[in-house]
Amino acid sequence: MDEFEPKVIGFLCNWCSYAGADLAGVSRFQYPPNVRIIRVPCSGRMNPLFILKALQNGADAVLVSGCHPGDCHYQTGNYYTRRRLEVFYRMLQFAGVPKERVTLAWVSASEGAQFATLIKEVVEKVKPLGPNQSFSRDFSDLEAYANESDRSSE
Amino acid sequence: MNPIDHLNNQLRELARKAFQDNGIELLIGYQKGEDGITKPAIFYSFEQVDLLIWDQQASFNLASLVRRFRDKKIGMIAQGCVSRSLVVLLNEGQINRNNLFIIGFPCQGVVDRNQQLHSACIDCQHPLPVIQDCLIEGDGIARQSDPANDLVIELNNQSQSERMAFFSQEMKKCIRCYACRQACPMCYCDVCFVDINKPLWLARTPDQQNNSVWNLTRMQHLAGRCVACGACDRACPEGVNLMVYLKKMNQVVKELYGYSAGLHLGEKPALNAFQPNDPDFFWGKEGV
Amino acid sequence: MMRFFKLTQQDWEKFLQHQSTQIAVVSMEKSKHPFKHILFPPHETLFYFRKDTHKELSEIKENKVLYYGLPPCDAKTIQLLGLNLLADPADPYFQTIRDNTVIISKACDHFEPNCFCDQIGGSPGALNGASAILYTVEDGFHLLVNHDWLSEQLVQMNFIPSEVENEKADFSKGSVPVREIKPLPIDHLREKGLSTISKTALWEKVSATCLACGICTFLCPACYCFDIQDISFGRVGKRERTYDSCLFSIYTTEASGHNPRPTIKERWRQRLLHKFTYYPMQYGEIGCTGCGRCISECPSHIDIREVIRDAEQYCE
Repeated sequence: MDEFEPKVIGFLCNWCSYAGADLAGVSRFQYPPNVRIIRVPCSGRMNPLFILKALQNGADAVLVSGCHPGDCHYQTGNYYTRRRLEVFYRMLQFAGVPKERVTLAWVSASEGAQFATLIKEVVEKVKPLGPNQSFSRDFSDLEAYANESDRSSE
Repeated sequence: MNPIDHLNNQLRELARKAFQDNGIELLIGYQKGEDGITKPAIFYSFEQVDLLIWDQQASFNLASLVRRFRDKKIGMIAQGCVSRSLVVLLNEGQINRNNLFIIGFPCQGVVDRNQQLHSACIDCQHPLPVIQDCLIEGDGIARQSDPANDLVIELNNQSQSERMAFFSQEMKKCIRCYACRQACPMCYCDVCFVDINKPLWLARTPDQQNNSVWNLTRMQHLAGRCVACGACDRACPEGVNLMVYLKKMNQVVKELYGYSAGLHLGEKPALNAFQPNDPDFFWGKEGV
Repeated sequence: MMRFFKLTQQDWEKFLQHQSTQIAVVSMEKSKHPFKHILFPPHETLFYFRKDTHKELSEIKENKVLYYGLPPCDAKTIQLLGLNLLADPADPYFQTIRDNTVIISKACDHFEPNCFCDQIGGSPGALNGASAILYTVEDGFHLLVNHDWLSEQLVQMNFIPSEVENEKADFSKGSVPVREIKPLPIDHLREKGLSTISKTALWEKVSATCLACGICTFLCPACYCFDIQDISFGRVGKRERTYDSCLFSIYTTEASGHNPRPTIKERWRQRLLHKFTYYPMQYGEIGCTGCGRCISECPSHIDIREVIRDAEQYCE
């Protein structure tokens, strides 16, 4: 039986975290291939709806990473992120979303090794939880229809 | 004379004075409908003030009516939570202080559909108005919250799956009529995110998952702006328990940033501001 | 011709028992939720599609269901919704549900504070398009039946029918309440409602405290506005129908961004005139059952009875 491989969506800020991920690659640091990266100009661009949409549409975990506070390329963007996403994270937990499914991080452009560690940790902590079913939208009827109509057209 | 009648006489006197001496063009308050229910009403003249009342059935937050009349000079009666809503609206630039004449009064709490004191009022920390142009003196309702009976504390202590079960159950009830949004004075966006279709954030379908997106996002948009008046909870026709999530939201903002909405004029809402040394729980922060 | 049966309490229970062995039998009573939520659900999937074919939803309820105990105002839902949804071309989803629904309503024995069916030409004992109506009398019930299949079922159980002309025939209707109350001036609105369109002062007053939340339209037995959305999933998708409300601000917003009903007063004007002027113009009947849910559930407690009286003053 195949081990469950979680789908992780990572929102990385262009100037620090994305560059850090790139450095991890260039330096050949190994990390699990489960993360799909979406580049945002700044972690301050993060709309809580992005996290919700990701979870609703089948992501098993969401990661948001930006520059360290004080080092934002746009001076103050990540200060707002820190407030906005911390509040949202706590509300998600209160609503019953497992805390392992959302990770908020600061990774700078020179922290390639740390990025690799971060991804390893995220994937490790989500694997035991299994696929995200309770917080994702129920597309089972559409999936069934797709399979059925595929079969009948063969 | 019973205290509520006495209060109503005082309110009417001050309202008449507001028409005569303070130049208001209309007064926002409550009156009794045909069937005895207290409902919000607009009074356009000195004579109509005879119908002004307030009682514990006044479950509507009058501050949600202020923006539609913002180019006129408005008089209104306001107790604690309504005056705090006005402070938030003033801080967000939605109305001019010069256009408001506020008749403040102490509140004894309002009741829910079952005639019990509403859950927002049980926990009320500000029954007296925080801003007013004239004030009726008196004591407001005393805080009666009982930690043994507090759903927020109970949910905090539960496991993740228990919390998810409770939340899912509440979300199944929602019919997406948006009464909560309309009743809230702070939900005033010209185009709400649910009305946007490029991109489409959530489908119209009132199923549990879409309802979760609606409610969680509305709460997030109210973080640091909600005064926990309970108008949304009272407006909901399906009895979705919105108060427990809004109370938790307010507690989180208070705990993290020491901020409660609507207490001081001239403040920025909590999520529109920052401190370089805000509490930081992110992975990878300095020193960890 | 209708049929009229005298039943004792036991007869009635025996009948329900027997029916429940063959079809679904559901007991209903007047509640905040209108019967409309069953006949015309708040959300339903119309069909699934993929790029080159489509498939009809195969789960349209084809099984007969018997609902009993509804008040006459709820029974009228089927009539009112049918005026629009069954006009050619008929809505197949509503049609199927309607054809498989048998309603035995129950005459009311008291008025609630917000009931006003008798003020708009109705009555708490009216048949209103139900399959049958149950009147409580001293020694049991009188059941007036206007439905062939239902009649047959009763006759097969050896209940004896009498033929009557219609519901106004002379037989005891038991304790249907009647009260001395002034009817609402809906005739003026019916004839002259259009003359109020330019009366801004009226509509400003009426909608001053309206929140445009949509609760009244969601709970109204006569409101049928719906929205259609496609949910896609790769190469396949489904088309869903959900409730919409003429009071929502985006209801008439056009693609250019222009909105012919920009504020709540235009939308309230539309709502009132639709129910009491346009409905009679198109179908001959007013679009209201007098159930009063729009009054009791409105967060601002706007009373449509007061609105009708106000509007009448402005009719020319």
